[in-house]
Amino acid sequence: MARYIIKRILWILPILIGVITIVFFISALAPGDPAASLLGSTATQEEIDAMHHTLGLDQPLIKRWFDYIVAVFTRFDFGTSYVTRQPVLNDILVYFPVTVKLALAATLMGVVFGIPLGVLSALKQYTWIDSVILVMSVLFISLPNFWLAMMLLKVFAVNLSWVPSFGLDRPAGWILPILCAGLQSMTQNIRITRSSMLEVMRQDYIRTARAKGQKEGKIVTKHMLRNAMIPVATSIGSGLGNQLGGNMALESVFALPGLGNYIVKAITAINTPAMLGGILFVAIVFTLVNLCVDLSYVAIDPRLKTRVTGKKLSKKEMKKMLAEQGAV
Amino acid sequence: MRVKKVTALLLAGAMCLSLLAGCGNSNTETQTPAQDTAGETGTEEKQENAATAVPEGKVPATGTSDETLKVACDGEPTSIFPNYVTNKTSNRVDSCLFDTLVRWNDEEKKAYPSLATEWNFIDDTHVEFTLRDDVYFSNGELMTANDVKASLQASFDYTLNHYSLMFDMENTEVVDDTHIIVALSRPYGNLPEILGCTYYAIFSEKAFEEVGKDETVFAMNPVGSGPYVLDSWQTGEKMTLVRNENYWDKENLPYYKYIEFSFIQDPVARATALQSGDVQVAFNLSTNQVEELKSHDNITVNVYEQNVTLPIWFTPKAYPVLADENVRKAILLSLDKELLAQAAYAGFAEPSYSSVTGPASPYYYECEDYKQDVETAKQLIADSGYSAEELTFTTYAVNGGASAHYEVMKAQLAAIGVTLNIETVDLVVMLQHSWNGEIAIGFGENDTWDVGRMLEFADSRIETSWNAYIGEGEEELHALIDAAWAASDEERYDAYAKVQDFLADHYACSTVCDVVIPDAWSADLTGVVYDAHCWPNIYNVRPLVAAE
Repeated sequence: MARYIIKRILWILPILIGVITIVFFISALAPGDPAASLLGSTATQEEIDAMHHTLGLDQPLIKRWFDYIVAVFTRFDFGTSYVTRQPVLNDILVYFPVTVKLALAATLMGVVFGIPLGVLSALKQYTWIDSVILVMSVLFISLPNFWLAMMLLKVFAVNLSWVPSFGLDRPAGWILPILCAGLQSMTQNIRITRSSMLEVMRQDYIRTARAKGQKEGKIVTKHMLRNAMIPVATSIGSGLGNQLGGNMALESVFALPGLGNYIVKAITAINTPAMLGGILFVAIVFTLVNLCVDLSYVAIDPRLKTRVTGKKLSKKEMKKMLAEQGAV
Repeated sequence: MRVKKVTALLLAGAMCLSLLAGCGNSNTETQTPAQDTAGETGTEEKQENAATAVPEGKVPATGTSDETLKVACDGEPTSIFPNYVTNKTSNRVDSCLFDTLVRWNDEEKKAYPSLATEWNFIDDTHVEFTLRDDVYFSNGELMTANDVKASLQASFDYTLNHYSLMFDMENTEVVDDTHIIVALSRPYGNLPEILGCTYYAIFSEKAFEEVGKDETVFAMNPVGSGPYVLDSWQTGEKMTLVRNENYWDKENLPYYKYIEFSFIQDPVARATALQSGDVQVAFNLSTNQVEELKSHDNITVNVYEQNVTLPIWFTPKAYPVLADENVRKAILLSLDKELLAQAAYAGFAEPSYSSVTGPASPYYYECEDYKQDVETAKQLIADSGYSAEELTFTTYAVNGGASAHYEVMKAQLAAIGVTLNIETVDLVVMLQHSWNGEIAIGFGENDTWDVGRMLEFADSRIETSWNAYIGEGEEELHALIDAAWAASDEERYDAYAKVQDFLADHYACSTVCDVVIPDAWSADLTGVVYDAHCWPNIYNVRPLVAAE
């Protein structure tokens, strides 16, 4: 297993070099000059040239790309922001905690409410409970979350004054952002869990478990849910990865100092080091989350352990797995 | 049966949402300002809601308090090192932390003494400033002429803007603790006004040297003589200032102990924060929000004309047809400035009939030739003999910005046989096109608080992003520009008028209106002041209390 993890981590390096290269050259070739953006339309050519020199933009592109890669991999230096003149990594570490907290809370809400509701919906297929859950999930997935956020603000912050309209000083400030982000995650999980559960429910081993007289609760939790969890885990993982990349719309409406806001601001200001650093950081986080999701598959489905490690399951492990699948 | 149930549930869900949306304030019904623009111009708005206006029966609170003034800003300061002030939040914060040699009063369009008690032009390139002798920085040091020189030197060394290059620091001389002679590299009659901007804030030389003259470190530990000092800065979230209890101007000690600037990028979120009472002041809102905000009795909305204009410029170097004065004249005569101004700022801007300045500028000069005359415009185009292809131009609108005025311009140009293609791009892309000289006819957004700077755009001796005026009488124009640079005091108004008149006579450029930006605050506040940029500052905001 350790070998597999090391191999996967080593694979991250070429991925990151690829990300850097693509983003670096696209941003370099994209129209717009960071110096002109900083100085505005009233600057003279002399000022623009001086700013190019200050920012190092008078160096050849290939040299700048190579220097950046060397700095990232040898010193973990993501460059210096053109705007704040602070190391980009310092900026990112200021913005990232808010994004992490929001992402984890939203994911937790998605798991705690989404999976049970998805299971319930599958178990009560074609009943009014299933309909209510389905309509609710379609509704929340269809509503743009920035619109929902603005409506919730209008009702709960402006009209009722129950929560602050922005700011995270008070715990109440987290309620609406988590609710908006969590609803998105929850509806996603409901839909995936429901469809996955419906598929598992029709499997022979479920019928076998019932025929053997196992309790329904045990069948649902141990045999159905566990076998239905692979796509759900994938969905949770990719959802968490996306959330960790920053939820631009929500961060903007709730004025949250998150990574999404940071990257968007960097893009609009052609603050290349900040943009590059932000995207690189997201790429690192996303790959690590993916790695964790892949590892979670092994915990969920022991059969996958053989694929990951290349080793066969022991008799004990095989027996345990078959027991979990209701075959024994 | 099942279908019915699902339909019923869907309808119920939709109703719930409608109810939620309908829970908004019943007074929030909006009206498009453009639909009711009569009597709603920026000027009238400014008079009605003047930032310092005090309603009858109320007076500004005196003394000081331990309260906090909460402010929603449109962005985070890029830096609070004065010379790196590149956005309005930096400016607002710096105006609280630092003082300048003079202070601009935008109502009177005049510079008043601040750290300098008086100033005299010794000649075109030397100005002597007499300084106060009772000013202390927040670190307890007495301010002297050496601090002024060090601050100006830093503005020269670290500047991000062109203005500081006017200083001739080698020949700037400290006479004694309270006198300094500032030398200039060329005549600059505007100098006293310019020094009212926070770019030229005065800070402690000693404090700056203690951090090794590292501007980024100093920006985190600023030492000025302003009414507030920096208390904390939570990146991306907020900044808190605390009252400088040793402020030298005891008569103007600020009322609020703390000012908390929250950085809220989205204008809707800023307005929401104000409506919910989470902040007392919200800056830089959209003109589209004005009507709704005005419907709240507890909110004051101030739609203020900035010292920034919306100009129309031509690029004759890249588009030779535009070097023909008659074509430029036809284009400008085809335009209804009032309609363009309305379209650009939802009916809140007043049209300008000047070449360079807008109505908010003290140097506004109205040129009669800019009134719309479609028939003459048509005739000029017909007489010009240019083909439809030659009379097809491209311009660039900024993505996410106002674009209605582009459409109005396009329609009005079409009426005289000129085709305007509009491409919508990001701001940075627009700037790049501008630098490449690819914008045939462009709307800009030009900072005219230093009108002398604006004249540089018409000066072909200086390379800027806009292509300079080229045409008949260039030498005459250069002489007028040089004279305007050198003119000081009252002469300057006349000198700038002559340059603007020349540009108008040759249809070199035109200004549509001033940029207007609504700010809003709790109705029980007063004392927002507008600086030389017409940017709002809040260092002396006070609550209104009942008059005794």
